[in-house]
Amino acid sequence: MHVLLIEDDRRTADFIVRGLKEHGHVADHAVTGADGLYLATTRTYDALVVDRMVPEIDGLTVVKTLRASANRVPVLFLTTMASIDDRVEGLEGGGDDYLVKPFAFAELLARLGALARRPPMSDIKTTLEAADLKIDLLKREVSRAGRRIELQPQEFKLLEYMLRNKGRVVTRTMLLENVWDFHFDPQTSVVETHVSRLRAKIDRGFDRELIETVRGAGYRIRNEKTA
Amino acid sequence: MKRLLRTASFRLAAAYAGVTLIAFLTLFATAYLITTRALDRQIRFGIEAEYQSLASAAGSGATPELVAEISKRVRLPAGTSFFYFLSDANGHRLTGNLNDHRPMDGWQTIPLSEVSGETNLASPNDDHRLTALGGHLSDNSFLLVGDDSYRLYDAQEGIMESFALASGLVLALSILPGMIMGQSFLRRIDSINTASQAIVKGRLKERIPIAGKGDELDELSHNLNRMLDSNQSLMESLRQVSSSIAHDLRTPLSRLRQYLEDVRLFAGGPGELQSAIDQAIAESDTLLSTFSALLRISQVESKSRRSGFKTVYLSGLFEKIAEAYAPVIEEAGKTLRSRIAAGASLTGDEELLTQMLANLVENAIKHTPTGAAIILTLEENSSLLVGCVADSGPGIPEPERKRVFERFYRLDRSRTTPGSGLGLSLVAAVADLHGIAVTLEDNRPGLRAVLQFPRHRFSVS
Repeated sequence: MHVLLIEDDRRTADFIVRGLKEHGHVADHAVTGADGLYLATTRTYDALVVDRMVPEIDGLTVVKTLRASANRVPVLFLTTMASIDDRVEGLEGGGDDYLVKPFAFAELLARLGALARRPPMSDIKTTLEAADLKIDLLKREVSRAGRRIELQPQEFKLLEYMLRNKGRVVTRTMLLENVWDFHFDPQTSVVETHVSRLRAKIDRGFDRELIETVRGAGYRIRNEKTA
Repeated sequence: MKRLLRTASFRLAAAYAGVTLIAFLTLFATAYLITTRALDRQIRFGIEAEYQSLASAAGSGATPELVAEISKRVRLPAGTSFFYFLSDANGHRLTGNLNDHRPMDGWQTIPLSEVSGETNLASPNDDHRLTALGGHLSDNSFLLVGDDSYRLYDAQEGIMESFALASGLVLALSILPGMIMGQSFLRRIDSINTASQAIVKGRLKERIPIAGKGDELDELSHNLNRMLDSNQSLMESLRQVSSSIAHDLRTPLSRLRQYLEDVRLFAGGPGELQSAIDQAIAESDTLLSTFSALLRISQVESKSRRSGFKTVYLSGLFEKIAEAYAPVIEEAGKTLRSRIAAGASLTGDEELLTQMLANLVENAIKHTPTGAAIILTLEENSSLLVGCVADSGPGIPEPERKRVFERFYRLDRSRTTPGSGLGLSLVAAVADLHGIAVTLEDNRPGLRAVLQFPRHRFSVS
């Protein structure tokens, strides 16, 4: 993955660039919004990581300018936790996802993965599958190895989100935001409990566990090819 | 005195007096002009009549009869007679009560002092002027008839005097009350200033005295006092919050420090190092989440989120929370029952309302023993919309039910339960933002958190 990082804080930038390289990605780094905008318009990237507060041209303006010129590159905004209103503004301004500093690197990586391989809007699937697990989004039906499995609505939503990100890590925060629309950190184990119930329903009685826990990061639905 | 002249009430009075004075001046000028003209015309009319009667009686000029007639008229009592002057064709004075006069036809005004000869003047005064009509008779002799125009001057003087008196009175009447009002205004402003200065110097309990007149100044003082009350309580809570932050964040920070010191001194192998670092990260995450909770509360309190209010489907929100927490409650060995009225909505911030309800449910989960029952309801009571999270746990003692909304406030028995002591503070802030009345009640046994949603902001479809 070729990523452009627009970030003026040296330590944060080093942390991100080093992490991306360790995971086999290529990262370009711009310190100002103006440099970032120049790079984003002259080269092709798989994703942009943009800090909201960068000198010369602020991050939001950079992304708005790109969107105005029909550039659809996926954008992940970074912001300090001081402003919760920023998220709505950022997403309305053309950002695809939002991450509040400080964050775990695994969180950034998982979100970038989800963004960069997000299917185009026209490519709407009505069925999703992994190994012998199939779900029908229209009939709201789930089956594994031909056997019907009954899921609660939120369990279905959880499974759907994980299947859409099949083979990639999804973090606890990503699940909270996308499945429950919770933009805060619950004090109880909402995610863990639902995941374990889902596991009980789709993995119990089968040889292979499809939902895998990735230590220190989140969960992953095993892709059939990696099995 | 200088201050008094600068007061608003004095300036207002002075301006008013000025305007009145201008109106007076206009009135005076008009009266003056009209009176002067009328009098002047009257005087001239009299002179002309006298001149005509003498001239027509003379017929063929300065006859001895005319001289005798004039001499007779001159002797009339002082003040009632006109002034006369008759000279022959060579300019020699024949008779009259005026001294030599240059023969000149037509209307003229002559200072009386120049021409007065005889002493039957009404009041020999230097200022007196003679309005006179002169003309040559048929034998080229010259006749002048005049009258002292003192009546005109008297009238003018009278008008002037009454004007001066009246305008003096007007000025005094309009400015004096202004000064008196200004004086009492200044005294009250002084008392406000004294109180403000005392507050600035740190005597925060000081308040502005209220005169009890119920006027604008009292209203202002009352509003200022209310502002001071709210500032004082804000400062109080700020002080409490900062000392709580310092106190509450010390504990996780010292634990973090301890892990790091431990790992530096005793870490045996990579495994131990790994787990110590994981613990340190977990501890700093706790710290960070406390900070973001604090920031979120202060942001909610700033009310900036109101601009983003939208219609929130409240029934759906309650359903979502019930569904999200049902498994968590079950795993904890407790039961959840919910009864949620359909079709209720509210204008608000969905994200914050979700978190508010989640916090209340999580509190019920955390602070109840195994086997407890948690009840989540949303219902309409006589067109009121009321949400409720009730539990059968130990509840909160009456005196502490208000205090638990304060930041970092925790009951003694909950000190060991994980949590920041900020959950209910956020609930209070979100409720306040939406105009929701939130109260904690005794559920006999247990706690019941009641959310009374504002009537005007929800609609039931």
